[in-house]
Amino acid sequence: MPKTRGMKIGELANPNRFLRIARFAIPLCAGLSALLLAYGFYRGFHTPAERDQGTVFRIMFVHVPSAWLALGIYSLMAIAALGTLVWRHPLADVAQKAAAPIGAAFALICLVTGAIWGRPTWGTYWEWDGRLTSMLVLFVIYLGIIALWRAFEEPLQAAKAVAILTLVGFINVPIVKFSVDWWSTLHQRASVFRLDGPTMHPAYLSPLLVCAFGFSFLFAALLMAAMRNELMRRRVRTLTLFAAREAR
Amino acid sequence: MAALHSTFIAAAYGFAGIILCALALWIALDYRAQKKTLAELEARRAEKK
Amino acid sequence: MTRAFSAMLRRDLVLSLRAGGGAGIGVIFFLAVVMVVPFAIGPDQKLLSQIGPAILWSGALLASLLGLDRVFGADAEDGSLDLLLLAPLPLEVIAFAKALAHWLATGLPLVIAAPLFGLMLGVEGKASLALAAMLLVGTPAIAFLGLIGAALAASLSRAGLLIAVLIVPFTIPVLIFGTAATEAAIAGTPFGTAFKLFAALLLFSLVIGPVAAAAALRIGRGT
Repeated sequence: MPKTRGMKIGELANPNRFLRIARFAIPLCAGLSALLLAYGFYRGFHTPAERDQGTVFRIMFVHVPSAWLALGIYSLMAIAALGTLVWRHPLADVAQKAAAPIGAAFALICLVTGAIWGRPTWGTYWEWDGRLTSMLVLFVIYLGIIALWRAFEEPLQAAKAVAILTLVGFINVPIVKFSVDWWSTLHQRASVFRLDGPTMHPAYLSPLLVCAFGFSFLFAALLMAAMRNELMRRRVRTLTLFAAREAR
Repeated sequence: MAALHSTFIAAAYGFAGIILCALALWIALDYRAQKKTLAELEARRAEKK
Repeated sequence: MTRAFSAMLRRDLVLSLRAGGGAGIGVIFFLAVVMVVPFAIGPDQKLLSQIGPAILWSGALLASLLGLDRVFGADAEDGSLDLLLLAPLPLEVIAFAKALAHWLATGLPLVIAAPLFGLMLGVEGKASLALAAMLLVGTPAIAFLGLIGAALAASLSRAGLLIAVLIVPFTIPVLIFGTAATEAAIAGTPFGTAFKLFAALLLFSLVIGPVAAAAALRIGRGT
């Protein structure tokens, strides 16, 4: 017991600094996100209609940033998992736990907006295509991570178990993606992140990037708010255990 | 055709909005609940001392 | 080290053959899955023989996930896991032995039963044998991937469903390449690209399974 107590007092410095920063960073990120999203959607809805699809491509400004974020958040969680296991950073597992539901939400948004977009353009809501299937698998992996978090009583033990699962997933996700891509393909290929530069028309690309930044700031605000909640939840837990011990 | 498309667009944006608002609401409610419990616990501790 | 390894293997094999319903339980579950499908889609022999390999693959996958919570769960309950952590044998090797024993007790019977069940579903004899050969490669891959989930949930009680939820997404490549290799084998070209990738997945899981499981066990016990 004395060992863990000592560790907790040492850890307090960092989370306290985080809470001080979060106080003004959360409203700042939320405000920036609102401005960027408003501007991005405004620009996006004033683009000319597309030759093949008419106006329905405007779903892109939600769909594509959600897909990027769903993948990006998982990478962030993998780095946080390394932070838990290797560098033992006190905030890493808090960030990991807070990020999982947000990542799952963006994966879900990506799947559902994609399904809605697919109906008028492909003529079907769902197709067992490589990209759709791998995003679905990523969504299920997110749900598994959330389930594992909830299965453990002790947060530090849960943090380490989840960190291993996240890292195994990080090795496996490219394999899953590669295998399902090999398996069946309907979705269009990447048109922004390419070695020879984006092939998308700049009139569509710039509002898309503005929206992507807007959603990223939204993620940052939500993440910091959820991390603050988690830190408070752990303090509640510590104090409750303390009270129970004193009462005995 | 165009009217049909705007329904699809509205559905997509609406769904994204609902999910993100639900997430934000959940985080905000969680914040209030944790703050309240924390304040109660701190008060009880101060009382004892 | 070889003697310790084989002792470990023998112990786990005997335990899993005698406890929890015995060795047959996985095969019985497999039979139950195969039996349910004709009731669900109707006794259409042509359709059944068409989707027969798919039914056998998903049945084998589900049956392989079945006993995973026992692999470390029983040892965590009675404390022998703590002794294993102190053993001179590297934990990765112990984990490997446990996965191998688990596969021998639950996976191998599935492989042996598969041709028979294939015949029941109207899959031709030769195709059934090809399918069983592919299951011989696929079931150990599933067992070694499942080992990670078993180790993560070692200290949890009633973890069976949780393990399945955690592991199923990671077994999808095995399923994809396994069914592709099976199709190729039934068509008469067994050792093409799909089979090579499938075998690569097996080798990959043979390495990552024990390493990740050992890391999870160390962490779970606070060392």
